[in-house]
Amino acid sequence: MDQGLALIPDKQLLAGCLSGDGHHQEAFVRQFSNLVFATIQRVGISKNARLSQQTIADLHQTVFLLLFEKKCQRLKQYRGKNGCSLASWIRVLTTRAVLDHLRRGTDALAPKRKAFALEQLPEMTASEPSAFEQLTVAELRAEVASGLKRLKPRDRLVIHMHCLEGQPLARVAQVLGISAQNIHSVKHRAIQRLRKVIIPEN
Amino acid sequence: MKRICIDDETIADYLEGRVKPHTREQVERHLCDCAECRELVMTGALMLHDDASIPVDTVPTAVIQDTIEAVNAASGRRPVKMSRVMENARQLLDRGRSFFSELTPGLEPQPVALRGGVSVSGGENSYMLIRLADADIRMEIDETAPARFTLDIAPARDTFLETPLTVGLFDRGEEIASATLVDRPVQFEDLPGGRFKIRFSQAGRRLAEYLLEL
Repeated sequence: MDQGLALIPDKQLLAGCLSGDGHHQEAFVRQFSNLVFATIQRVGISKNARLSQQTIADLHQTVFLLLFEKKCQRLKQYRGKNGCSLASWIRVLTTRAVLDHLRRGTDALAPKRKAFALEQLPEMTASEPSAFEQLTVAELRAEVASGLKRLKPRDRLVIHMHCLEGQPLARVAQVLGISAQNIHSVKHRAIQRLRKVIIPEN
Repeated sequence: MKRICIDDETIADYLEGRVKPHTREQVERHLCDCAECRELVMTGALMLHDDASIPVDTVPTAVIQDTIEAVNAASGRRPVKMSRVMENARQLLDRGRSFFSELTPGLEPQPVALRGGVSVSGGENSYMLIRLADADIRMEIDETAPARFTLDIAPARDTFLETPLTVGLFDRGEEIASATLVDRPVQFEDLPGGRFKIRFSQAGRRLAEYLLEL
């Protein structure tokens, strides 16, 4: 993985690190450095954030310190019970660290897609809606919000991510573990169910 | 009540399709209400599926080394390596030297005398006065032919050497010529251009040494 070193199996590496062995901890850093460094850069790119080389290096250090500080408190949280590899876990941990950094700091530029809360759904009429129309839109929004809560989590998630947050359907499919072909019918069914909840048939 | 979000391993399991249906539903229910976890999951999916398509730099060795040192320090294992301190000091010294060169463009760094007198360097015809502890010595350099020099050394006016002075000329650590200076000039003839060391000794005791550039 890194600089041609022989890889130590996850289990052995973890045991060595948790026992406080310096050689294993050093090997751990070397083994996963490239993964962490690459993930930091990719998260930054995906968020349109211009992370400086210093920031990337700092975040790299932050991730490993997070794992090893307080006698490896964070590292101890890894169980691998469902066959989750150390690499997969570290990738998610690193992604979370970068997102937290972007939320706190000024590296993030304007997000690619603007997230809309339900209250911000675009007006359905043209300029200067009447008071009646405004009441109708407000009521509709409230109905949609209420209706969403009555859907199954998966249907809610599709509508949240794609319809409200503007995420591409392909990305939503990846998150939900659905094929690109099926996601369209999943989305269609979710909207149908929402419509049925909001406007029940007599 | 503080919201408990989903741990990283469960997120990884969810993204990679290893969770059971019951857990999946719990995760998705949480994701509906938590924008931060939704963002993590969306970004995590991107990292998982489009990993190779976004070109990035490989981690520099210095970054790895710094991180290892930080982890060691945090674990209270050992201090920063002295080799690293020395390397940092060397870099600082190099920056100081280059800064000096920027401030004084065109100046050649002058040889530094070991003791007494002033450093000398010159070509063509140069004259300098060397002040030893108890005597002043005149030195004259004359370019008698292209890249060939003569070095004349004599006590300065009103200088009387009670003890003879030995003058030695060294080229790369090897003595190439020597003479004893009492009251008459000594001459080193037909010297090629280059860098030499000239040493003044008296009764076996080294008085001064200079770098000489011809």
